[in-house]
Amino acid sequence: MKTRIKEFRARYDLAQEDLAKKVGVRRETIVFLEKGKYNPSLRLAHDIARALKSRIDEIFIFEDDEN
Amino acid sequence: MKTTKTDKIMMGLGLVLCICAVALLMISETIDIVIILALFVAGVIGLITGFSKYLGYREGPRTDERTRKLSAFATTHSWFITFVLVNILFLLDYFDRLKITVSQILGLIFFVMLLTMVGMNVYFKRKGYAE
Repeated sequence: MKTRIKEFRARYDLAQEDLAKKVGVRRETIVFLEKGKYNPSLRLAHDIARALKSRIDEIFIFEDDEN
Repeated sequence: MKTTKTDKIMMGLGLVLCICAVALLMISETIDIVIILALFVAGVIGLITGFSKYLGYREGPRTDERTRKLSAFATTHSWFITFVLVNILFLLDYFDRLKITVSQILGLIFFVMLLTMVGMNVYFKRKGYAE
């Protein structure tokens, strides 16, 4: 899974810490999300998308071969 | 950051367990050392858990969905390792390969459960994710 969290954060000038606070998670979780190493719950994905004023499918990109 | 009620309870419980372990070691001559050690380890874990906020976890919420998932993975692995150990002990006893008392078994299981739980938690927290 790829994410565009970093790109959207830069767009709204949000630090990882700020985004983490907005969605109520630890900063490390944002780090792992940006690296694409952690699959968030639908709830968290929704909250992140809302915090970045975007849609879930714009932020989180699933490759076709992923199951 | 302010210490929560849970932190205080954990630290208090940890301290009490450590003191009990030391007291047992000094007073009792019959109780198994493994049980005393297990008590002491449980106490240390309680103290560390209580102090965790001051050991690098100052910012943000203490847990979130990722850390809860990691803890669940760690618990599952710890349970499985303990289960395997219990089976091995059973087989060793069944085939008369090992003579071990009930208190030693309980102490060993207690010790392994705590160690694997802490070990797995540390491993998954360092890894950062578990899929």
